[in-house]
Amino acid sequence: MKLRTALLGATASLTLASMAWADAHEGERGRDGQLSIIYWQAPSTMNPYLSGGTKEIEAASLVLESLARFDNTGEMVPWLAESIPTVENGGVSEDLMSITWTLKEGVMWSDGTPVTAADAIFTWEYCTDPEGGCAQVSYFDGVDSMEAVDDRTIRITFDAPKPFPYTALVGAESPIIQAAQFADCTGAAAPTCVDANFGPIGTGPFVVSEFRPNDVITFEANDNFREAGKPAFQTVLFKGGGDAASAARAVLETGEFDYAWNLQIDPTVMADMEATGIGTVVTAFGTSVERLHLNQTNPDPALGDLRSTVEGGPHPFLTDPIVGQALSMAIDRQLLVDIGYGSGGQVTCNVLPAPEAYASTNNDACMVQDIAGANALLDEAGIVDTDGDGVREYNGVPLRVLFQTSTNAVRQDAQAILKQWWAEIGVETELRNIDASVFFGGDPSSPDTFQKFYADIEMYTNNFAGVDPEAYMANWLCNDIPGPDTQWQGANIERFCSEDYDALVRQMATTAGLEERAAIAIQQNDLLMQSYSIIPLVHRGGVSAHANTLGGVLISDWDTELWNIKDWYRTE
Amino acid sequence: MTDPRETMTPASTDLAAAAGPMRIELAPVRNQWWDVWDQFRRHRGAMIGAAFFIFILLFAYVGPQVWRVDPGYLNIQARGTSQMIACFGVGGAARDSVAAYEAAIAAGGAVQDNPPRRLGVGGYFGAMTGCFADPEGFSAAFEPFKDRRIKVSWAHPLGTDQKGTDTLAWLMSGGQTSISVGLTAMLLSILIGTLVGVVAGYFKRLDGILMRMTDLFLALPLLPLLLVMVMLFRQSLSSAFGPETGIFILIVVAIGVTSWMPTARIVRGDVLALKEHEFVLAARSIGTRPGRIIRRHIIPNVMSPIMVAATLGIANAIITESALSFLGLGFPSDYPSWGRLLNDGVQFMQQNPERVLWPGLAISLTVLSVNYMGDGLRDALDPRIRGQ
Amino acid sequence: MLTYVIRRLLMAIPTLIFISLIIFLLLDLAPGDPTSQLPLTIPDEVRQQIRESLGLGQPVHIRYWKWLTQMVYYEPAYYLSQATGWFDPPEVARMLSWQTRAPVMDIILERLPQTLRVVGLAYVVGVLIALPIGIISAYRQYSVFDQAGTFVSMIGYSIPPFFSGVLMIVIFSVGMPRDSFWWFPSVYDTTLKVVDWETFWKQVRQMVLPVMVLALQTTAQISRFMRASMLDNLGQDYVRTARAKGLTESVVVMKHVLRNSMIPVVTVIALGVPAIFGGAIITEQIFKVNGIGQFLIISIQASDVPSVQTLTFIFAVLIVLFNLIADVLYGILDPRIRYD
Repeated sequence: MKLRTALLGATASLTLASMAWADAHEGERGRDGQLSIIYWQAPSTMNPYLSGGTKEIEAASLVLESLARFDNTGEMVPWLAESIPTVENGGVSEDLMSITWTLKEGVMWSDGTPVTAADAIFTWEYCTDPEGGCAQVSYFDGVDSMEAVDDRTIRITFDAPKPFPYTALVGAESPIIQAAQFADCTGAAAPTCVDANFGPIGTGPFVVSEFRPNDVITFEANDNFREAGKPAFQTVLFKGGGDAASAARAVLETGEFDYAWNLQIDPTVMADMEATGIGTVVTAFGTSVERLHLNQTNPDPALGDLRSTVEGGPHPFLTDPIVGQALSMAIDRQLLVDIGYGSGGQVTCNVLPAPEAYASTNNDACMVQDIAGANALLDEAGIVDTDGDGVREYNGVPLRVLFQTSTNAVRQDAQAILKQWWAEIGVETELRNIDASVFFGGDPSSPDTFQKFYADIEMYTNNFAGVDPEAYMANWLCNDIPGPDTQWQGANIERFCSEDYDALVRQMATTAGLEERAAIAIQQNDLLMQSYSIIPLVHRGGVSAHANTLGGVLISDWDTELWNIKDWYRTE
Repeated sequence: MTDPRETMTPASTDLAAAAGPMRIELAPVRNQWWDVWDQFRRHRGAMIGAAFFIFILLFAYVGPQVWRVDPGYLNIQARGTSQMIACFGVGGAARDSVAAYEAAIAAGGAVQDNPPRRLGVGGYFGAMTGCFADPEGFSAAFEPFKDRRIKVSWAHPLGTDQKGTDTLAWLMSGGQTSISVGLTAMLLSILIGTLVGVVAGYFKRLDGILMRMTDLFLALPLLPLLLVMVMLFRQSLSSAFGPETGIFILIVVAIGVTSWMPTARIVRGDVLALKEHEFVLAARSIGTRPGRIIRRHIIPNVMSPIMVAATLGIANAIITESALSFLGLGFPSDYPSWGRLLNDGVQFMQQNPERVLWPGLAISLTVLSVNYMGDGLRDALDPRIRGQ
Repeated sequence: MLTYVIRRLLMAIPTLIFISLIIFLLLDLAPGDPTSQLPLTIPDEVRQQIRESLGLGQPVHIRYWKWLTQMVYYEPAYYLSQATGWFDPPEVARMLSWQTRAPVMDIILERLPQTLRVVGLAYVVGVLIALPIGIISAYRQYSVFDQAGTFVSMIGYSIPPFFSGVLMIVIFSVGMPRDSFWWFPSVYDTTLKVVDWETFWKQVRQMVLPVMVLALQTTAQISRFMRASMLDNLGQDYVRTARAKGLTESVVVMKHVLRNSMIPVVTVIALGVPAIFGGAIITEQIFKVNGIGQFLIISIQASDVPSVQTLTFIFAVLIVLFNLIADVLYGILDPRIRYD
């Protein structure tokens, strides 16, 4: 059993490269004055364990750090740890039951005390406390125990062989917090420690000097930061509020800010703003895919409580892959990218588009729109318009679909365009958009949640954190279908169910070799794609903008975008 | 003692009453509404307002018969087209760029009357005429110049949006939505507001409870209220009236029930003062019933704040509707309205200013015309002004 | 009058409790969930744990009672003990917002200054401009001034702030060169502390655009009501009498007509004051003022029930209070109005 290092093993090549690049801009700590960042969705706390929202994780990553982070290519980089443990270097046990991390020497908290293995263990205990409501507890799944071998060495033991052991205390979602500061804040007391949650003591390049929830954060450079001459900025102003367009304007047009995050605005508007010449737009691709889910169960309101449940029976026509295939063929994905995403999107035919080793190439036919082909396909299958109203019938049921998504300008454009294309193949579409807080809210009493799926087709984006797709691909298990008995919880939104698929998921859980895992993931992806229960549209990236005077930005979608903020500097 | 009502009733009807039934055949009685109309007609602002309002109505309801472009159709290739008026800007586009200048000459056959890099007056007019005559060819010639791009077409005289819907067609059918939502929601809110205000102001016993209810409605957070309304009623309304009418009712009711409170408070304040005035006291002293006092004496005297509230209410309803669809609580996204058009266009304000200009103008001018009509109506209904 | 005020204040207590109960039930009924903004990568079981840690598992009446006692007893007690030191703060945990896990009242107090500064100033400016416009427009009905005033105020009212705000930014923040006098910031800096003339000037400049956008709306609305009400009164018999008595025109207009025309205007102004504390949701968002309005909207979006509940409750208190003030003012403006 051998773990390859292509993806997992941390070669430091890239970090070396980026360091060499930063070398040219060395100097005293704090030499470049103030860095102004605008996040139009403002962070509400600095403790990522209490919030779980992306904006909070991003802000906290300036202060709190983990053993290893992912760089902009998705490779793991040792951060607080000396190196990435692997089976080869003995850091991961042969039976995959434990992993041993060693902290770098001389890492200090910003208050001047040393970081020890006890802090790491405390973090685990803090997050797994059943009363705490920790948002990142799934990162500690399968952790049986953690022990301090010595002050700098932590051994994590799992309750079952863990083919991918780099979840606990790795990445921006599960950073190490200081035991001394949070000792009295465990369990139900966690939210009461407001000062600690708003101003955690960390190991990162910056220290919180003032935190105003959902408004603004000011940071100072950390005097005890382990790397000399870093960070280059003395203070960081981290402003929140407004919307994506105004944030983009503040960086690209008025130059009031240096960095803006999550700018999903019209590509032509963005291009015009960038043409002003003050800033640059940058994108990074992770695993986010904007997709359509085709309900495999019947959402007919006449079914009452059995709507969209397995018990309510299959969908009258969407379970037939021919219909799904025709719907997919009618789509010009490149045009969707051009209109809605610009540089922040790529055409994809897979629900698992990255990392590269896991990406299938078997479905690439979908890249080209073929309305004539879709029409021919439906004609051939005998799905034709029998009553002359322009809508085809499937065994007497007209192909009329209710298509819902969350409210968002880009999604509404895509909805309108898809409606037109589908009209051209004889499918009539009714559009509905639902406020995001309701759609993604999961309130079992609301009929409009994406889990309830009281519609025929729905569109949204999903992804997985980190680089290992095992948990993500397990979303489509038969027994993970949402229903009233589970309070509509469950990740198998489109209610896909296949024995073969379940078998692949089981196989994945026991396979360790990277190539074998990749092969299984590709098989899983292809099985889903060929069922046409899920139609991928766009591989979405994070879009951000930075001032041209800001150097060192290496935007990553695998970790936080600010993962290497310690290396940022002012170019002039 | 004279009947206090007389001061409020138009002279003409009194004359007719005094004349008795026998003379009716000889000199037909003029209905008092004719007097109102006469007065209204003499109000210049009101007539201009009314004419413009009729124009807007024709534009929205008859326009689609003339301009037969389906507002739902996306001409994706023509997305991002500017309005034809952009042709006037062609001189600026060709200035300072040799290539763009040459393209302008090639496409428009412009006269080159000024040495290098300047189109000059003649050249400018030549290019402009070329642009109006053959917009597609002109647009193609300008395609390579990214920041000087001109994309125009007579197929879309007011341009298109980012996915290729025709702005003119949207403006027309959006007008239907906005005007009908604006008027009905305003009427509903004025109706509730006036009723609550008059009753609360006039009947002391009901004042407390009604005003506390007003306080409650003022305090209710709008957004959760709407979310709850959508959750509870959308399904039943759309199955009873069809999806579009169902949502129309939902939106009108939502806007109506959340905007009547200021009217109610204003009307109540006025009524509190009015009911102590001499003519009301007099009416009461001769035993006029409250219903009649309210109809004959109170309502006519609170008309002017109601008129103001009504005109402001239309603007409010049109904009609230757009905010609702923006939040996903209103009409589906492919259902046009002026507010939506304006909302969508804001992002493109610098690139395609016409995307905010036309819907913005349509909303403002509609509100303005209703306001002038309201002014005229108020004057016409006021017996003191009428006949002067 | 005094007994009336006291009676109304006593009546306000059950009214406010009733209003808060209705709001609580409304928020409880509203779809949406505090975990809706988390990434989909967080599994359902974890979301369930988060909900439970927020106390969502308890029945409605217990949650309402908890909120009510915190709002009317523990929170005031906490601030009183902080301010005076007479007694220890209560042992009960403070009322926490669900999204920030920080005391709701602290966040509100932190944000109140910028909201009062921007929205409050805009209101004062708006009212001060609106009253003379309304008076002159009515006095010189159909004059050029009146026509222009009508035109501008109606256009101003029908242009929503999501448009006028962005227009201001495009003109003044993007269009003007950075060093020009006419350049104004598009982002409000809430950390700015006024310590000297320079920071004072900075503060003034960053308030210009949002105040302009907000004042336009206020001016339009109040000047219309002022004008209509003045017009009603200018035609009354008592005005003729006053003129016949030989009073000067300014006395007639400013003393007699204005006073009698103020009732609807006072109502509108009184209705607007609580709205100042409610903040201006859209304008605050556009200029990133991040005051009460922005707090309310993000709390609603995040289904942060304690925050929304507290904000709307404070809002309700102010509404009840200012409507009472308006009622008292009616009596002063028109002594014929009696409440007893």
